[in-house]
Amino acid sequence: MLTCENLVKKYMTVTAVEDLSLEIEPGRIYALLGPNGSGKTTFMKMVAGLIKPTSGKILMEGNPVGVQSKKMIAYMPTESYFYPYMNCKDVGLYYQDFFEDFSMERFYELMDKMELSHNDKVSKMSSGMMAKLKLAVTLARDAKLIMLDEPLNGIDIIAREQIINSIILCANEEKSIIMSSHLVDELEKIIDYAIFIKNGTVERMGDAESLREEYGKSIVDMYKEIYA
Amino acid sequence: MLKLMKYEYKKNRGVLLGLILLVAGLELYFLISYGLDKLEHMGIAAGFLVIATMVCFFMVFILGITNYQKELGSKSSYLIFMTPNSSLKIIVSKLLYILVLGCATFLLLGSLAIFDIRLVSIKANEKFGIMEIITELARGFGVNLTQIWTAVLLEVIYFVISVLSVVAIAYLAVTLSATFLQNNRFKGFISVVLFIILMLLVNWIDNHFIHSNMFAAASSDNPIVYILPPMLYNAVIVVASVFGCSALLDKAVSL
Repeated sequence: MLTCENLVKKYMTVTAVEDLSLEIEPGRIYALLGPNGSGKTTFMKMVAGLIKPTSGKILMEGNPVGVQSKKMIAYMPTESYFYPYMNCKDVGLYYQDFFEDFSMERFYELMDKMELSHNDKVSKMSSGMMAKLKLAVTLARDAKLIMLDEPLNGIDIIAREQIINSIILCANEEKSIIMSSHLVDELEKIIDYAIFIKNGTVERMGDAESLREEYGKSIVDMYKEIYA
Repeated sequence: MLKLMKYEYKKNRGVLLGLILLVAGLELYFLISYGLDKLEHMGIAAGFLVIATMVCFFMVFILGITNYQKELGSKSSYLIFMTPNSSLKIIVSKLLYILVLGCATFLLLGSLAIFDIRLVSIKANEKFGIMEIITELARGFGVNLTQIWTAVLLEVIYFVISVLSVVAIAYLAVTLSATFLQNNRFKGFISVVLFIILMLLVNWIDNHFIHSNMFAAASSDNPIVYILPPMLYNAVIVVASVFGCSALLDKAVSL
């Protein structure tokens, strides 16, 4: 589905991503793991078309990153990115205008589950409400690849279970979900595949169960070992 | 394209409303003064209206540039660049929106000006209408009225395109600053210098090869001969700048 070959992204003296290569298969939930500054967000933004790699190739179903790939990829950034004038309904209408796979019905369902009102203004939202809105609008798309950058950030413990269930419900054989998070123990229960990023490159990756068997550790313990 | 333009409007309607309210307020002041026969206040209101008209017209274009610069430097740029629209379409939609808004502003304020001049001429008990005023002026310069109207229309179109070309060059400088110069400490300074250099180059080419001459157009039997070359020249600048911005974003966008 998604092929990344020898991706490099440099900013002046800083190399955010260094020779990163990986393939994303359909029908899986991937965890993109690593500490702050490891290159997870830069990688996701390159796939979403918000950052151009310094070198390397990204192909989404054979298409380079561009208009066609953006139709198939739903990306949820960590930051708040909506226009200040918007309320929740305006956000949904915007996505409906530009993304054919967006379902307003599904968006409203998710908003109800997350206890968001249609008229809540984005400029007045708490960080937790904003996190829920971003998730709702991203998961309301029927995209082939869903990338969630720190989806559980700012979400209270009670709501996290609900969010994780919503994410799982989105998964099917034809689409893939990539999630980055520091809350590795929350993700461990649901992921199929783990990708450990260190200093902008893949340190370790594989099927979650196979990794546990091979290393005799949980994903959480592997995380501590790699990044300690 | 229309959807992109719709959201350009939605993002900026607050400022537009402010400008409309300003002009509406001054017009109300003028009309009240007119109704109460207060000539001094009519004069003050008219003076402010002239200033407000010029400010509003140019604000449309200046805001177009500053909003683009702000957008490229803020996270809300994700909204537009995540959509399945090419960079070219995004840039064209922004410039088209500015053009439409500029023309709408010009028409609205122009209509208001004509209405107010008409009121003043009635007040002054002069039987000259707008046409008569302009006919008298034209006769004074030895100019045929039909010529002058054609020239005025063409010159308005030329003026709008030339202002748009300045905006397009500014877009190019802003885009360069946000892409290839993104990591440069002096990117703001460099982009301003680049804008100035491009403007000087554009004017140099105009002076040496295009020879814009609006006065000659106004008094010519065939004004299009004088106006078409600079009009086309500015249109080429707009197109080249648009493609330049698109290429820069495609090669080096980094939001």
